[in-house]
Amino acid sequence: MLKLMGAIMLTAGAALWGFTGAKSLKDRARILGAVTSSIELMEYELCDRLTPVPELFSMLAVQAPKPADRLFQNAVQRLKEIGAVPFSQLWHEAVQDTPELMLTQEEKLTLYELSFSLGKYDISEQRKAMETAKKQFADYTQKAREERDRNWKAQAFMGVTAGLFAVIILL
Amino acid sequence: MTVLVSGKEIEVNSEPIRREHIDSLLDIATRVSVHTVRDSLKNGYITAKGGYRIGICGTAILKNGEVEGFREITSVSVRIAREIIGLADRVSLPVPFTSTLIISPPGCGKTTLLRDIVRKLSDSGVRVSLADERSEIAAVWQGETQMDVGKSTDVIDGCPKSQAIIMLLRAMTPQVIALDEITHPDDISAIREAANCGVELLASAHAWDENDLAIRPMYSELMKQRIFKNLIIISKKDGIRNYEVKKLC
Repeated sequence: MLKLMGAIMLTAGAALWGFTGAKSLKDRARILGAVTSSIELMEYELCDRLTPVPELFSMLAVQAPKPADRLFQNAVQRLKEIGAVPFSQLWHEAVQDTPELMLTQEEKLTLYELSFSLGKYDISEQRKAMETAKKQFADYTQKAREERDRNWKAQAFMGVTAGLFAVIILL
Repeated sequence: MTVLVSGKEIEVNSEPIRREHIDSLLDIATRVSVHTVRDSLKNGYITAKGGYRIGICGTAILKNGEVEGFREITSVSVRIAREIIGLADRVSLPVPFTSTLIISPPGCGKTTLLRDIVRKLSDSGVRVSLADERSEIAAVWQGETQMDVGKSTDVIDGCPKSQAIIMLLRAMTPQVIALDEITHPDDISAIREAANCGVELLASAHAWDENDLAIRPMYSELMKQRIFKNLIIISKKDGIRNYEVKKLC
C-alpha cells in the first residue's frame, strides 16, 4: 500500500514538473504577445494621439494585457523621479523589476533601447523606434509560439514518463 | 549658469553646464513628452507648467526648408513667469476702455502689465479675447491657464496672432482683443480689421517713446491709422518703473 502511494506521488510529482514546464512555454508565448500588444498601443497613443508619456503609462498600467500592465505600473511609480534620474534609467529599473514578464536578456535590451527615443524626439523618430521594438517582439513571440507548439506536449509527456520510469526502477 | 535680474547678469554657478543637465531640464519641462510641444519647439521655445518659457538653442531640424524642431540642444534660457495682480491699478485706464498700446524697451514689464489689464477688464465684465501666440500671457498648460487673466477671458494659445485675431473676431464676440508684441505686418492687418469691426484693442510694442514709435515704418503706419487712442509708456529710472498714460486722439 505504501509502495503504491509512493509510486503515485512520484509519478504525480514528475508529471507536475512536466506540466509546469509545458505551462511555462505557453505562458511565455502569451506574455510576449502581451508586450507586443502594449508596444502597439503605445505607438498609437503616442504617435497618433500625442498622449504625454505620464498619461500613457498610467493608461497602460490599467489597460495593457496582463502581465505587461505590471511593467507600466512600475514605470508610473518611477516617473516621480524624472529630472533627478534620466528617463532611460527609470525605464530600465521598471523592466528589471517586472520578473513576471520572464524576459531574456536580449528581450530586455530591446525594451531598454526604446527608452532612448520615448518622449525625446519628434513623432517620426519615436514611431520608428516603436515599430522596431514591435517587430522584434513580434519575432520573439512567434519563436515562443513555435517552441510551445513543438514542445509543450513533449514536455508534459516527458514528465509523466519520467515519473513512471522512476517508479519502475525503484520498484 | 547665469541669472538675469533687473537687467544685470549674475553668475550663479561656475561649473560648466553638461548635456545631462539640459536633458534633465527638458525632461521635467516636457514631462518626457517632446512630441506634445512640437509646435512651440518649431519656434524655438517650450512653455512649462507654471508659465515658464524655455528658449532653446541647438541644431535645427529642417524639412522642406522649414524648422521642424531641434536636436543636440546646447543651451537654454529659462524665463521665469511673474504676475503682479493689481499692477493695472497703477495705470489710469480709460473708462470705458478704448484701444491702448503699451510701449517700452525690452524687459520693462509690458507683458506683466498687459496681463493684469486683461485680468482687470475681464473681471469687471468686459468680454476680452486674448491672442497668446507665445503662451506668455495666459501661459496655457494642458488646457489650463497658469496665470490669472480674468474669469471670462477667451484664450487662443500658440497660434500666430494675425490668424488668432480673425478667429476670435468671428467666433467669440469680443469687446476687447488683447495681444502681445506687434511684430509682423500681418498683425497690423488683423488689428485694422478688428478695429473696423468696432472691437477695442490692447497690445504692446517695443519702442522707447512716441517718437521712436513714429520713426519705425511698421508702427508709424499703425499710428497714422489712429487705431490706438491711448499710449502707456513704461520707463525705468534707478530701477523704478514709471507708467505714463497719453491720450492720442
